[in-house]
Amino acid sequence: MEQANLSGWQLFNLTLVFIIGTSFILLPGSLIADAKQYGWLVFIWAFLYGIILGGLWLYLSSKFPGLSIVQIAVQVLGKWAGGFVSLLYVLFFIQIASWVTRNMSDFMHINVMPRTPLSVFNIMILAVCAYAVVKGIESIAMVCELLSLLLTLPFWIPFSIMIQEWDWQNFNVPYVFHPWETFLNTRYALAFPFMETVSFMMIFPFAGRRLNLAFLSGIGFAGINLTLSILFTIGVLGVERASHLIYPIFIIFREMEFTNFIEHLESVLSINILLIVCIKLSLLFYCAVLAICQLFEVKERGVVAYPLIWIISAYALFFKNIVENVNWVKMYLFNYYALYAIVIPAVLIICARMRKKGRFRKRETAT
Amino acid sequence: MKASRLGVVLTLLALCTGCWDIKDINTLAIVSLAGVDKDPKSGDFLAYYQVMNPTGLSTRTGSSAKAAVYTFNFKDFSHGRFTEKTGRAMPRLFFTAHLQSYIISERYAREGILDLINYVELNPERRSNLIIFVSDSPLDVIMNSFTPLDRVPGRFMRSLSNHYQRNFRMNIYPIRFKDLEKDLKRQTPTVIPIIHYNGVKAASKSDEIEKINATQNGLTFAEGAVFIHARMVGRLDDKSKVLFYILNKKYRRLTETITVNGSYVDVEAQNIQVQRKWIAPGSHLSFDIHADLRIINNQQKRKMTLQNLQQIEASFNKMLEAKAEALEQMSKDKGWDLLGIQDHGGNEDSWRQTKVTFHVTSTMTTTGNTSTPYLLE
Repeated sequence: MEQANLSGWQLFNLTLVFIIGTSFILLPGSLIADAKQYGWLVFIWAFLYGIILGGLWLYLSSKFPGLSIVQIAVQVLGKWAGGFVSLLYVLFFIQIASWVTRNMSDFMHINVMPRTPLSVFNIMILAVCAYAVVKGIESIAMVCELLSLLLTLPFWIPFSIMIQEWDWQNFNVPYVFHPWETFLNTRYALAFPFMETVSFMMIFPFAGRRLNLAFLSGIGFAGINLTLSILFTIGVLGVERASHLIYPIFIIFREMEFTNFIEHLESVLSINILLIVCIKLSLLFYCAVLAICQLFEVKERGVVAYPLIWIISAYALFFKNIVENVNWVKMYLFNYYALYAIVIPAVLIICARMRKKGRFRKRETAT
Repeated sequence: MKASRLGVVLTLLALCTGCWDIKDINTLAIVSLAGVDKDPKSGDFLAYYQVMNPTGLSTRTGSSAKAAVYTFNFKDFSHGRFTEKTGRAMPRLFFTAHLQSYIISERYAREGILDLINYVELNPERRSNLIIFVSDSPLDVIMNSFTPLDRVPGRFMRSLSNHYQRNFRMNIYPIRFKDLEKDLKRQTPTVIPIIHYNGVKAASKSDEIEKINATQNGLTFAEGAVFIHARMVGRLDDKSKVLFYILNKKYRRLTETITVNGSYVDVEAQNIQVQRKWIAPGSHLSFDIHADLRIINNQQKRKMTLQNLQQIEASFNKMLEAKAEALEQMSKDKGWDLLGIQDHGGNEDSWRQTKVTFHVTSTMTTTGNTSTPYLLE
């Protein structure tokens, strides 16, 4: 296994970028369509839920210091059952990586380069990410650390300029807010992006001090950023428009005009999105490669990483179009992610406790 | 090893995305202004695109004028078919990312432009912050005319709107596609300026704009087209249009002529603040309006005293209250909720019965250079 050490600040940045990742371009439209002017409220409970789940994973990880989720599964459930669970996680990481890849290529294809085939985007970005994976988690973390400020400022400065378009009337939409119904209809926002962070259970063994604080505050800070961006989107675009758009935040940038001189700032956001997605994808790619390496005891990451480019890029074409992708996210994502983010970690905690009790009883009977 | 690395790099270069989406500026037909009309008989759309002519634009002083733009027109039954059609007449790639504004014929506007809104919003190449105008003159005349001072008609119109824009709240002139989209489900109308061509024959040759009379065969903003749910339902005169924007807290300036002591006084109201509050929810709405006044012409035959200034303020207040009441009455008569009563807590069914009161206050802050007009005894 790689001998790497991540600082608290690096883990915080990784968590932040991972959560914001594709969700800030893809989620606002659906969320505002489902929760209208209360869309921002959904993100508040979603990130609180993310923090609670994060606590569960940290608890499990603290019981097995230095082990990733794949190694924990093998240790707790044994070689075959644990191996099967690990295989499921490998599949899970590959799946998320391919969905993220597709989100990025869809975005570029729809908005920036409509004539370029999707596969070209997929292969190009995956090739870069595979290189990052081979270089290791420290390299990914350092790139993330370097870019986090560069990614935050070009996002919030133009976004703040668009405050001039703010209209309080946008929050005055005839809609009766039923919290429970809204919670159920928008449960995909709990899954994407907060349940995806279970992937960090592959990274926890590399984190040094202040792991809990860095990880949980990363979730919290990302949640606040997402909440604010939804609030801004409603205030600037209005519920009616935002709920009809696939990429409302991108549209805000596209329509930004500053003194009739600075226009077309969408290219800034496009590069921003590309960089953020690149980091998220590298992390997921790394998790998939590391999980395969740990499960099958492969020493060289490159042997696994480069062939995976073709698998992920092919799997990224699974959805025919963005509408099918969004539909899947809305209907099945929460249930599907629940298996990896709640059920398996909970089962592992219970089994670990039972084994511990069993061992304790054995020791007692022996004495 | 080095050779294999070089091979990988060269292979990756072949995948460079620019090859598919390459856009060379010399091969683009940059559209600056678009116009859409709809033939009521056949239902076909008539699309006009003004494409910039770089050679015409770069004409230096002293040299002969060349056409700064060329207008291409096409006819088809669906908006999405025009891009392909342009390839048959334009020797360059149709490029609309720098489109300045759209002009819509009045007859099309009256039929409703939801189809056009949907097309513009869906299209990644077009932005919804394009400004819209409604033309009450034949669209082919407007689209085939050059404009004075700014040789590109699209830019001419944009500049005209920018001129007004400064007095709008946060510099936002709400005449864009996105304003129509935002107001789609609201009851408050969107008012779009109407442009009018002062002439009969199009000024279609660049030398025609060399004439000194810039008004004749030129374009002017006149009146406003009232849009409710993306359909033009009527027209507002210039004064009502400005008052509509003011009462909806979008505009902050008004120039009025009032009669004080039997003489004309022109005042400019600046920094107009409007506060609306429900005296009785759903049945009595009150507007408190305050403005800072500036005298721009005083024909009174008396000295400007404190009392006289108060008289001017009182006359202005009275006049504005009367005009606001007239607008409210027109709003109820025509069934256009120009005050946005329904969108601000009013009842959808009984908004016409809502009692609306206006209370105007003003402060004379700027009087100009003279304290007393010159008089001949």
